[in-house]
Amino acid sequence: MRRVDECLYQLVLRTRRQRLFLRSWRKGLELAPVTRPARREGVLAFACLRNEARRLPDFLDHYRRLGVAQFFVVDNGSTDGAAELLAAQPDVAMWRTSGSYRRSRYGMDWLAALKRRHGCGRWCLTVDADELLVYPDWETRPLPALCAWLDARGLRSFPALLLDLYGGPGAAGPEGRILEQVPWFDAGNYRAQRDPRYGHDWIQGGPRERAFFAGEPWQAPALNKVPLVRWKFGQTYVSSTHHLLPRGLNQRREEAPTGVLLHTKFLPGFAARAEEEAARQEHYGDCVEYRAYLARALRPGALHGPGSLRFAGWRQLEALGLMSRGVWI
Amino acid sequence: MTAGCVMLCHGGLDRAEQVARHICAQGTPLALHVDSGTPVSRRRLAELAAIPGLVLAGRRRSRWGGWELVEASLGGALALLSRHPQLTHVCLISGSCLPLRPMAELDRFLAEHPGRDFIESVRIRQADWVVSGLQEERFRLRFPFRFREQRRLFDLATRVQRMLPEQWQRALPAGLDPCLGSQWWCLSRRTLEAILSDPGLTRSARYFRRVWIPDEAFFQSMARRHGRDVVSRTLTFAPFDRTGRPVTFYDDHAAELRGIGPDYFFVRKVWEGADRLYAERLGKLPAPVPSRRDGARRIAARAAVPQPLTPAIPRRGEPPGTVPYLALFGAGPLFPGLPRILRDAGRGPWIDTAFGPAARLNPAAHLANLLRDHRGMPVLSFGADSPPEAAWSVALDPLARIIAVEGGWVLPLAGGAGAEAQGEEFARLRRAEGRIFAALDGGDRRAALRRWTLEEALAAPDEIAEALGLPPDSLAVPQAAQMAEFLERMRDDGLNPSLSLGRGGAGARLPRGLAAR
Repeated sequence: MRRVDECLYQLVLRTRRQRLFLRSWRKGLELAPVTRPARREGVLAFACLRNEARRLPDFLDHYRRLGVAQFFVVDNGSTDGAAELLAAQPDVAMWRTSGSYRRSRYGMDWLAALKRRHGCGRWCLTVDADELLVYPDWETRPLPALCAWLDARGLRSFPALLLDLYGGPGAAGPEGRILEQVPWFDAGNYRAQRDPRYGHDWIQGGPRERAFFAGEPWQAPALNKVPLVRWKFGQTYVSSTHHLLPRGLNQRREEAPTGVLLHTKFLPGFAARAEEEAARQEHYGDCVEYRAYLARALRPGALHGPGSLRFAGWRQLEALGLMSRGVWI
Repeated sequence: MTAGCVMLCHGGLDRAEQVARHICAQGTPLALHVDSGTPVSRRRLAELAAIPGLVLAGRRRSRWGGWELVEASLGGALALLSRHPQLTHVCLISGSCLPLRPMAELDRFLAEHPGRDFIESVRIRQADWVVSGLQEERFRLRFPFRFREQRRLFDLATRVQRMLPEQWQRALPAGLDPCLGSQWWCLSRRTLEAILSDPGLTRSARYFRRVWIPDEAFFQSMARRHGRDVVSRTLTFAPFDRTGRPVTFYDDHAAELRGIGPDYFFVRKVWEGADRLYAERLGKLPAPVPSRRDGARRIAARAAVPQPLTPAIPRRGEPPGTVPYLALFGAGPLFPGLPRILRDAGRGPWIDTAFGPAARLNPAAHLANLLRDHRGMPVLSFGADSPPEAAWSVALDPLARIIAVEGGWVLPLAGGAGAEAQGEEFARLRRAEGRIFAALDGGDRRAALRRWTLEEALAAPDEIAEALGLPPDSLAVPQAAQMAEFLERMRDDGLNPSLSLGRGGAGARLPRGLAAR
């Protein structure tokens, strides 16, 4: 009976995957190309954004340093000059759309369409504009080195923890570098458990749960992500970049390294942004997250607490045990 | 000039060419084999062939673990030996190797050891060399499928052959002593010529062609047969990690590579984007100053240490402790001054396990988060209404020492007022405690458990003090009379206290889980 159940469940998952995959074809029609990709080899980065002009210079800087060869960006109606900034970059291919972010599964359908067109057979990094990927020794081992290592082991995905950063004492003002504006993070209030549906580690905790979801912690945002995947025709992200189908891509192997996505969501001025996003109603779960932010009026530095640590580089994160190098010595 | 090099190259031709030019420029002849599966233009090959001192070996499709690798090495060695009669040794390196020292030092070293073969060669009958994979079966089974590309068929074929009778397996050729070792060797001219002129070479070749990963076996076995002075180590520093895969070197290994001892002349394998390592080793940067001489040991240590998997993200179902700790069930409420007493005695730190909503979602992770970063012997104090899963995860933790007092939670209740509310609370806590003790008594417990009933605890508090590492008489006996009276009142109110202090409780039944004790 269990075998039968498993087979049936596999069928369910396959159907789900195919439905999401077909959906991305339909949603891909909403994209209008602005600039074309210059290169198709190397590691490709995919992002969907709206009004992120503040973060973009640091975002592009960081990922260029990590060895991303080509960016594929969907601009969902920016009005703050982000589109112009992106169009002027030689290594950014841009698409524009005015479609609904929510009905494109928070940008995932658009990016799935781009990955299907441009990413098959390549290592594809799918990140938001407020996520900066780091992993052990990333300065001397950029993404091509990591991907070559994963390839040699037959590994096809690279998991990362989404680490929320926030302001606090000594944070720089809006004119500073992004990571200096939000230099604090929670070191040790995370918890993980296996999610039997997709076989990934479901991680929750951190400052967002502590501050906004203390009463209903099961609603707190998931912090597990799989940002880097060797893309194959037919693969699809299920919920944001938290997990994928087929399920094997979510599995974390003991010998494989893991990374951290530095999440710079809470830049100074986040309250205004939260208000706007809550009004737009384009975010996950009826904007439950943004309504929670509004309900507990978010002052700058309000997330800082006794358990906060100041971010000091990847060595600190590795020593704390928030990421691991596995056997990638 | 005493040494020549055979270089096997797959991808990364640019880097291989840099290294080849560097070696040839020092007067060391080099035979370069480029895998015929690697796309190279004719012009590029002509450019390579024009490098003085370099000879291109006939190209073959040399996949990982294929016999063609051995053929390519033999072909390269033959080309070098016939062209350069003064050569005494040939080293086999790969396109992703880097020289650690000038070639003149290698020449000098080999001149000091004429006729000696440097090849790691382990007799498989006597030792384990393989980290994960087949060892003796490499020589006895047949491998019609490729390991990397046809893994499932490979595994299936291996499993099937294991089930078949042993006489159906391949017979070893007479006189062959099967040996295994690292592919990267440095053999003397005499040994190589003996191998090449062996009348049984065709037969051996036919046999080894079907051995799994023959490049780790052919030369290693043949050198044992023909070599007169075999030193079982390589001149190439090529460490493996604990999964048995080769370590890749990056720019951050520069300091350790500077500290590699004088016995090694090459390092494998270097990531082709490691600009600084290449610049440093190929003389584009000022010559590196050798640092401490224990680089090899430091890398070996890094390779051997099992890296913990993100301990800051504790997982449900995993034991919470990283250091030994005490877990108190019921003792906290029973001795209200305990945190202060422990602190004064230099024990602790005292950690109150307040289970909020988030903590209840994953109690084991909550405990792990509480226990992290504490020096000394942390003391976790549990209340009666802690989730049973927490007790279960502590019971499974071999680092935990559990001190449990059944009914310790009665004391704070006995002091209060309001019979109706107290009755309900009493019943609730009693049930919760029953579940906790059932978890502690589970058959798969790995923690050390000491438990007392309320009566025993009140009669001999010194036993608990001793278990806590406190001097005798340090735990004050709480108000036993008040508690006995309270329990009696509970019983008279119609609740089943099933706790007794010697006077009442006759006929009281223990809840399930407690009864088993």
